[in-house]
Amino acid sequence: MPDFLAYVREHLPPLGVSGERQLEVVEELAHEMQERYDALIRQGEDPQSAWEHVCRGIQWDHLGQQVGRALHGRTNYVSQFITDARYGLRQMFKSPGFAATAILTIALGVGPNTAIFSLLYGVFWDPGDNPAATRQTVIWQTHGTEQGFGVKGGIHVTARDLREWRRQSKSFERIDAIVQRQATLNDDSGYPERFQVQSYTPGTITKYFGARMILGRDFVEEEGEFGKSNVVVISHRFWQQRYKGDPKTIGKQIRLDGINHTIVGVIAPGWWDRRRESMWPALALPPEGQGNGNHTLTALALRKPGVTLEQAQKEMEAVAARIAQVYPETNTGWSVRVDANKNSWLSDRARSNLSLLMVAVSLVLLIACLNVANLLMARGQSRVKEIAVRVSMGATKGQIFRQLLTESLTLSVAGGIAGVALSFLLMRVFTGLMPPFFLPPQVSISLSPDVLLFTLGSTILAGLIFGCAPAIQMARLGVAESLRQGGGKSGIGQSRHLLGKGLVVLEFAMALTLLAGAGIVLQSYWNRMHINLGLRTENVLTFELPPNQQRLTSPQAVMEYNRAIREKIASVPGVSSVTASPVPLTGTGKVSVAVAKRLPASGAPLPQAALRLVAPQFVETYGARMMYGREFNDLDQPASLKVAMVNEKFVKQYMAGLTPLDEELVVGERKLQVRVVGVYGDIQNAEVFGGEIKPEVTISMAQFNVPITTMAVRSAVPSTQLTKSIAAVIHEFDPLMPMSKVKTMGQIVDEQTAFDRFEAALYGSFAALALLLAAIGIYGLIAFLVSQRTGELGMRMALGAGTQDVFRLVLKDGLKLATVGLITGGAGAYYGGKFLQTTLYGAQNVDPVALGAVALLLLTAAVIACVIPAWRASRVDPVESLRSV
Amino acid sequence: MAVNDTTDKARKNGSAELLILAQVEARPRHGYEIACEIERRSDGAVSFQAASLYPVLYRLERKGWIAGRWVEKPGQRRRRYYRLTLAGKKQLSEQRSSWSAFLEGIKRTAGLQDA
Repeated sequence: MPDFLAYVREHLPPLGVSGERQLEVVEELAHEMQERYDALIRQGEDPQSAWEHVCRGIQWDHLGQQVGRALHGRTNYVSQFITDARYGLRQMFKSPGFAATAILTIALGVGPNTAIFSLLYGVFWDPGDNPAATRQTVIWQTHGTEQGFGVKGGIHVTARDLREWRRQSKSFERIDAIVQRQATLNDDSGYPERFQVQSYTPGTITKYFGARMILGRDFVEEEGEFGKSNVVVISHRFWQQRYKGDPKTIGKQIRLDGINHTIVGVIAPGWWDRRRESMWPALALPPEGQGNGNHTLTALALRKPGVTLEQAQKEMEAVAARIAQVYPETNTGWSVRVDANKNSWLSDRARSNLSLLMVAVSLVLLIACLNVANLLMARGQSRVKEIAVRVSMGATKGQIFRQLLTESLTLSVAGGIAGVALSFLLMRVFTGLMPPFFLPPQVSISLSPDVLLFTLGSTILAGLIFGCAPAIQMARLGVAESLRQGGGKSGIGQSRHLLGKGLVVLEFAMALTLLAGAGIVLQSYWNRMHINLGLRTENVLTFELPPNQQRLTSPQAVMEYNRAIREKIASVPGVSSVTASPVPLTGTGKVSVAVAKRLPASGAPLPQAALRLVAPQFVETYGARMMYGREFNDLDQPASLKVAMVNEKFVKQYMAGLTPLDEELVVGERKLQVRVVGVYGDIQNAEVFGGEIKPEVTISMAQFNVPITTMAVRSAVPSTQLTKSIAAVIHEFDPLMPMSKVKTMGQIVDEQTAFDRFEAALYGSFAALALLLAAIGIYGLIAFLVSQRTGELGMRMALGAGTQDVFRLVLKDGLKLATVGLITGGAGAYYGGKFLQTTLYGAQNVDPVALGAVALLLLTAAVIACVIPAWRASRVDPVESLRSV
Repeated sequence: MAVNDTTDKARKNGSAELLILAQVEARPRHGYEIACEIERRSDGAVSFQAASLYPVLYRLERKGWIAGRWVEKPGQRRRRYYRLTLAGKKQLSEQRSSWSAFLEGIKRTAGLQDA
């Protein structure tokens, strides 16, 4: 005897009524089933089939919902949603293949989206763990349109002005100052080493930045006074690596640039460990009355709570005006710019690139959505009968729509969860590939609750996007129509075709836009990789030998030291030439210059050129091309005739019609006369790597007494093989001299292009993903649309159309769609490309070859998608296919 | 009732209410009995499964047109019997007249023959 009571109790979902009422309904339904069962048994059916007959086709979730509503008289939305979701989950398990495909597709869309968003969030919105971070401000001085060396051309601050700001301004809790420099560290670790350090006024670390000391202390006020500032704070990482976490490090004596310093504190682990610097000595402002004209300080100010950036800016402008009244000779025309500290150091390029990446991954997500919409539509076909049954049992359009949408949302949430797992992986890959210092050190990339909230939002939005259209389609089916169509194979009417066609066009358009964009990024990268550097980079080693100002006090002494050490290095077997010069590709100086014969009228400014100061053998060592004349040698001394070399561009721009050799140039504000003795081929010297070559003048560092301490060595063998013997020679010559920043020229080129490489890798992989998704999607959509026409094609064949006619028809329709998609996409690609052009070097508006290749690929997917179902259709027995009409 | 006002859903739900109210007019019946009566009287043309019957029953009860009561008879399981209330009687006669008008209209318009 079957136990219907237990069966119903188990299957009927909670109705949202009292337990007693629920049990009554269970009992009544169980009776009903029992009576039907008994009746069947009386008719002679065997118990098993009678049981199946009675239980078959009861959709408990639906029934529970209906009964619940009948009892309440209103809709219980929560229980209804749960019921719908449960139903959706069961549907998912019923067709695991479909569910897996959909979930994977969504995950492929959501994963990159979440990963890139977490990057963006970390950079732009993450408040971090310091509540005062939003009040952190940087103040620059400004002087008309003059550009300084600070962020966005800001000019550093003089000590006197900083003191005046501290006295006069009311917007800030405190104003601190920092100075950045290189310093040589000597401690008992044995070998001297060169480091980038930032000196801070007392309080900057703990009060401005809000850092916590894990050991020791921040500087005290009097350590900001001249002569008392020989104390240093170090990072946790540096403490661990160099001093093995020894607590006795506090109080330890080290020498920075030959001056004794005491380590007084270690900063707690955190973003400080990701900074370029590891040591922060105390900064003493020069005594009052000194250093008034030196713009050397970066001013960091903490706004008082409630003071906005604009208010601070306004007040500081007034302060600057007052200072200018008191010191008209130095401060007339000087004003200030108050910036938020956060992301102040982030380049515009990084800013726009991050946003661009977000656009790219959003497009990937949209393409994924379209693919899932397509999947749902195709699957809807096989569910027409199920829907029809539900409609015939009284389900309204609203209910069907809601049910289908809930299923989509269930799918999208499942996909979202998989996507978050994927993003976790992706973020590890990103951070692994990311060039050092790609992001500001404060930025930590993690799946924070805010990021997950965003993902939830975008996942639900995705569910709505891909779920709505198919759900509306299905819900619009009338009972009669759905029952009629449910049995057959024919389509769900014209509107569905329209939807499908619309999706094809959209998918084409988005894929093209994204791919064209990625194509431009990759092309720009390619261009940069294949720039003519004007140098031979193989077998060149560069390193720095910083001057020790304590021992070598005059430029002449440094110059002599430099010459002697170059001679020593040149004696190492395998070394073919040695020079000293700033490393090409990492920037040049700037100078005003004119050909003496063509001096502009007095008062007019001299034209600008890039400036290099080099030692002998510069051209030879870096493998540049000497075109005419000679390069500098050891005979070019301060007392001899002042000489110069110029690049090819300089000759073209300023010396047209002249024979460059032996021409006189006038250089700089002091109008120094130099004679051109050589012309070399252009070396990459643009401010943005890969930009346009600028005219360039090179002068001898020996003649102008400017010691350059960056060395370069060209060798006959791979340069890394010589590092040890060169280091040994230097150590023998001067045991206190560190050999720092040892890099091959190849490494320097790599560093210059690391950002490009990273971006290209990101865009490239997203574009590949988008292309794959789009190709699959377009294939699926067109194949679906064609398969819908099997009946029609069969009829055409029955009426005498040949296989070829059917082929042509299907292909024509498919290509028509593809063409519309390509045109729409072409427009998107054009405008997307225009935007990219402004941010990337050497990017054509739209690369016709790349765009053509992408268009061809998508078109191929479309053609294959037409051909296979068309071929199938043409093979179908006309009678068979007619049945489905 | 005008024909063009009638949606699928309204007709379906409307007819279910009418059919069920009609079965309990003469005497109280329990759910399964109502379903059997509808099937018997329509010669199998109309049938109600549990899923479509009970939601309507409960709705009619909530509207106060029928009233359910558990009845125990010796040697049998207890059953819930539904009887027509006064409000239900009024509703039944209203529905009957509007349905006859509607069906009359359909017959004339669509040229249907009486069975």
